[in-house]
Amino acid sequence: MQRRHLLCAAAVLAGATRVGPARAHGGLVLPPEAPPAVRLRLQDGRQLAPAALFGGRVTAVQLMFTGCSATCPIQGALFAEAERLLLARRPAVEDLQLVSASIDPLADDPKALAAWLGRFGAGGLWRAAAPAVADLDRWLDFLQGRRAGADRHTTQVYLFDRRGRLALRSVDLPPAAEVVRLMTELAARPA
Amino acid sequence: MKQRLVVAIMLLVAGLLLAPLAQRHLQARQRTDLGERLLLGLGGAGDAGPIGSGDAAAAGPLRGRLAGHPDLLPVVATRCVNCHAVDGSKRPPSAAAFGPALGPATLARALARRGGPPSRYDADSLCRLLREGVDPAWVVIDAAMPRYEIDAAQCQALWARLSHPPPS
Repeated sequence: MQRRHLLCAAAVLAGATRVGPARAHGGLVLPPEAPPAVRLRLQDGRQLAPAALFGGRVTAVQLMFTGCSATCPIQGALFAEAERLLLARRPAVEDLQLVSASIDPLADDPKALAAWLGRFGAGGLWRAAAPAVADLDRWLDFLQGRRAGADRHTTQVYLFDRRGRLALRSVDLPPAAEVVRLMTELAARPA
Repeated sequence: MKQRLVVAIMLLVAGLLLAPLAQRHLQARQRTDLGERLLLGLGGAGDAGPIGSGDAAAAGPLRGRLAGHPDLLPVVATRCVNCHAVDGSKRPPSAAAFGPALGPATLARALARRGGPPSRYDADSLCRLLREGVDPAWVVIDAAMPRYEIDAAQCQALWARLSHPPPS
């Protein structure tokens, strides 16, 4: 039943995006795909592979960079609202997380990433990371995260299951409540 | 004595004639200042003081949300200058290429936009675009641009500022 709901949601999301080549393609990733073994530097300075960062939790990832003033502040606001909704859930959520993933590893060091989180009042469920410079292309290829234009990245949310596999790509700029709903449904699926 | 009286009367008449003009000029200046503040994501209440109805000037920054989203966005995500270069602005655009530049050359001239027929903005069509996301040629704008809760006085102020930018 939950799987059917997830499939329906994905079909709606995918259908909504078929409006032209400038739009992202959303929907379920079947079968779910394991990300490449890139190195992700977190806001606290730790460097982790996606398997270590995503494993054991359902993770929502957004692409951004801290020097972006156009869509990234909107994305940050959406994740701030999503985190607020997650933190308000009872019983408390422990195995869900949000990750803002920078596409500008040269500028976005741990200090800049921490400032990004602070700017939106991020709490304990929200992290920020940037791939190693040499890994950026592989990471963006995997996500299909490139976009022409000033911001250079999609505004989708990428959902990873508890096994750290990419399971779903959303539409551009999904509502925060929709992100939370999809995360919750993905978390309810058997591993 | 008679000459002094004539001069005084002439000054009085001149003052009476010029006062409305000065008042209009002051109001236009205040409207433009309010438009500038709204573009920058600042509140309406600034040094310029109240204009017109007073409501717009007393209000805070423009509030907006993405189409179809229930939640209002914070001001940091809704400032016009986040995405647009603005004619006459002292603030350098940080993402000039993301949205079209804003000024008389791009708004008041008849141009084909977003694949639609040539069209030009006026105050009313700017209001409609900001509120509903529909441009003067009835083309829906990008979903990434917020839809704003903007009143008539704020629209007029934005249009006044964008159609008559101060010299750079």
